Amino acid sequence: MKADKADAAAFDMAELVRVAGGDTTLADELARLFLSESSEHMSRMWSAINNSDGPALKFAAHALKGSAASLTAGRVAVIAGRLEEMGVAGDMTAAKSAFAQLANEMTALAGMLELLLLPKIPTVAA
Amino acid sequence: MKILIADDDAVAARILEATLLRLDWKVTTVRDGTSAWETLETTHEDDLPQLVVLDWMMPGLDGVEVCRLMRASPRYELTYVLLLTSREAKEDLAEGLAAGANDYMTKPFDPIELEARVRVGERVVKLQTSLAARVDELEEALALVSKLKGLLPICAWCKMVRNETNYWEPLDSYITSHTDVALTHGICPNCVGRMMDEPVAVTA
Repeated sequence: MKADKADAAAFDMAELVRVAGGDTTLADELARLFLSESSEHMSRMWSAINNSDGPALKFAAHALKGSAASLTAGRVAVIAGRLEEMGVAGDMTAAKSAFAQLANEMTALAGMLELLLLPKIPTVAA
Repeated sequence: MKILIADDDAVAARILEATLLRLDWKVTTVRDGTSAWETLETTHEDDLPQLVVLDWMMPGLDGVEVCRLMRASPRYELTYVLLLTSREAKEDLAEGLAAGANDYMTKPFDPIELEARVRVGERVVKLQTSLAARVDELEEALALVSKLKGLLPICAWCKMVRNETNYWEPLDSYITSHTDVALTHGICPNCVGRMMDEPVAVTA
């Protein structure tokens, strides 16, 4: 599937391979790591918002921002960065709205990553 | 060279680990500051990492706190600390460097910059280690010089010397006990000549 401009801004596979030192196997491993860790970060953020726990939101959003930035997932990193600032400010109303936006971006990103990873998953011969 | 990485971001930690393994470093990775400090404290002095990479914001002890603990101990005075931060404010960087970090990198890091900075760290560690060894040698030499300085009373006739406890002892035993010189005994050509001219009297 050819990525359109919006997808390219959301995730840059070529840049990830460059960051991985040209090692596509490592790039795949990083994408898998991100998928397995990000759901925990999202869940911690959601709990923090519901409990109006600013510091917890700040930490969870910071962790997701860092992972997404390392993975070259720019759009998720930017929204997570905004949520980190909202955690510092204790602004949970804005955080709820930003979280919904983040959840949409995460779904789109996970879809993209899974499409990229899918050909690497071994299939059982009939 | 050995390196310890402490980063709660699994993706960043894996990129760091893979990059440094490619550079032939022996890498240990932990996921928080408390584990980093425990790992350092439980490692034998001979196996300590020469370079430690600490993420700034981590659960438990953060990177700056681990750095402060390290700099408070002479055990880590030669360890190079590289701080990772997503913060770009100059006052934050100043705080990190004031805590004793040797260098910092902002995340997400470029692998080429990471390699270059780690190479700088490697050079600094080698230089510091070599300087520390040279200082040790100089201190040893200085201690030797201070042992030998001052007046040494020597008997003009029998060549016994008066040591610091006011006892007279043979010159060779004094030199052996006060220096690293090991004496070997022989007879010089003058004395050999004298022995030939004045045969030893044999008593019945």
